[in-house]
Amino acid sequence: MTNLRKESEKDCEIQKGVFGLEITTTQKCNFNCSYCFEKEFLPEENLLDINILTEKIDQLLDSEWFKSNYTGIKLILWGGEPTLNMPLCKDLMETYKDNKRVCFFIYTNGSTTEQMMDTYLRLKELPFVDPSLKKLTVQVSYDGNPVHDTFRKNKKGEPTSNIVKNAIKLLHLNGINFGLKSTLTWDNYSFILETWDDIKSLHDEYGSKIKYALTMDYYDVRFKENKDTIKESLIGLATKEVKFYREHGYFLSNIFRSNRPLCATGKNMACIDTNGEIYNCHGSVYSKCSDDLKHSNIFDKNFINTIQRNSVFYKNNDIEPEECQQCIAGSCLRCNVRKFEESKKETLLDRWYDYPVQDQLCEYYRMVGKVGAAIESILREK
Amino acid sequence: MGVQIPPSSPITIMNKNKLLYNAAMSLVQSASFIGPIDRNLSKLLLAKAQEYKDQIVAVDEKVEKEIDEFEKGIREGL
Repeated sequence: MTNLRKESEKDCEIQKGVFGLEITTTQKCNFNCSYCFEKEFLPEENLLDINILTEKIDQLLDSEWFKSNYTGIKLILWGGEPTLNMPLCKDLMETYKDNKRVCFFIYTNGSTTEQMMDTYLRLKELPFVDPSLKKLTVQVSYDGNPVHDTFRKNKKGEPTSNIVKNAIKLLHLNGINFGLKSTLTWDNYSFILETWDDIKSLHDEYGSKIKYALTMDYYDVRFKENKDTIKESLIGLATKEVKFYREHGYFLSNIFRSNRPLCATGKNMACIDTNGEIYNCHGSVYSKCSDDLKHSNIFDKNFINTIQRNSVFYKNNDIEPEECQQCIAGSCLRCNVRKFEESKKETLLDRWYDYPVQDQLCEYYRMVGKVGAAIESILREK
Repeated sequence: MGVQIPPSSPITIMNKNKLLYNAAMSLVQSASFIGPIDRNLSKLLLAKAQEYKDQIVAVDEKVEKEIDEFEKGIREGL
C-alpha cells in the first residue's frame, strides 16, 4: 500500500510537467543558412554571466510557484549556434549535472560536437526526475541532401553536410541521446523525395532514433505557387512512407503523423536573450514585434513573478479557434509569434491565437491531412 | 492480416469521427447498465456521450473524393 502511494505521488509529480527555459547563449553563428529567420539580426555581445544565470535559475527552481507547478526544468540552449559560447554551455551543464530537477536540450548545427563531447559524456547517463525525458538531448539540424548542401553553407559558402554527418556519427558512437531536425522551403518541395531517401540512409545506418522531422518554412509560405509540385511530391512521399511503415511499423517522417500541438510558449516556457531580457520563447526574440513580446528581465528582482503571471495568463486563455477544431489536417505547425506578426486583429490574445491567419499554411496542412487519410485507408486494409 | 496502426499514426478527421462515435456509443451502453443502480453517474455518462457526438464533424463528399484520388495515386506507386 505504501509503495502504491509512493508510486502514485511520483506519478503526480511527473504529471506536473517540466518548464522549458530557453537560454540564448549567443546570437553568433558559424553557418549562413539562406532561409534562417535570424539572418538579418546583427549579433550582439554576449552579456549573460554564468553566476547571475545560475543564481536566477536556482531562484526559479526554489520558488513556491515553480515547485507547486513543475517537477523540473529543461534548460534549452539556443542561439545563433549556442555552442559558439562554449564556456557558458559547458558551465551550465557542469553546474546542474547532479541536479535531478534539471535536464538539457541543445539545438546545434553539429559543427562543435567533438569539442562538446566531454561534457555530453558526463551528462548522458545521469538521471532526470521525469524518467520519460533524458538528462541531455542534442538536436542536430540536418535538412537531408541535396537541400542541405545547397542552403546550409558555412560563412565561406562551403557545403556543410559532411560536418553534420560526422557529428551524427560521433553522437551515435558515444551513445548520446540525439535527434534530427530538418527544414524545407516551399520552392524546393520537389526535392523532398531525395531528402527523405538521404535521411532514410541515416536511419538504416543508425537506427530508429533517426527520423525525418520536417519543419516547413513558416515565415515565407509559398504554397499556392508550388501547389502542383507539392501535390505530386506528397503522393510520392506517401508511397515511400507506406512501404516504410509496412517494413518497420512506424513512419520515417513526422509529415503524416497526427500531431496538432499547441505551443508551450508563454505557458510552460520562457526565453532569456543575451541581454537577460525575458520573452515567451525564442521566436519572440527575433520577431519584428519583439518589443511587444518582451515581458521582463532577469535583473529584475520580480522576474519570477512576471514569468508566473505570464504563464497563468496564457494557460487561462488557451484558445483553439473553431476553424482549427473543424479542420481535416492531421498535423500542423502553429507558431503563435508568427500568427501574432501576421494577424490584423486587435487584441493580443486574438492575434496570438489567430492560427488561420496564414491561409496558405492551412491549405498545405489540409492537403497533407487528406493524403494522411489515404495512407491510413491503405494501411488499415486486410 | 492488416497492419496494426498504433495511436501515434495519422488519425484524421474520419478516423476521429469513428473514435468519437464508438466512444459515445459505449458510454450510452454503459449508462443503460449503470442507470438502475446510480442515476447520477448514468446522467453524467450520457452527457459525456452527447459531448462526443457533438464533436463529430461532417465530411463533405468533395473531400472524400480528393482522398480517394490520393489513395489511387499512392497505390499506383506501391
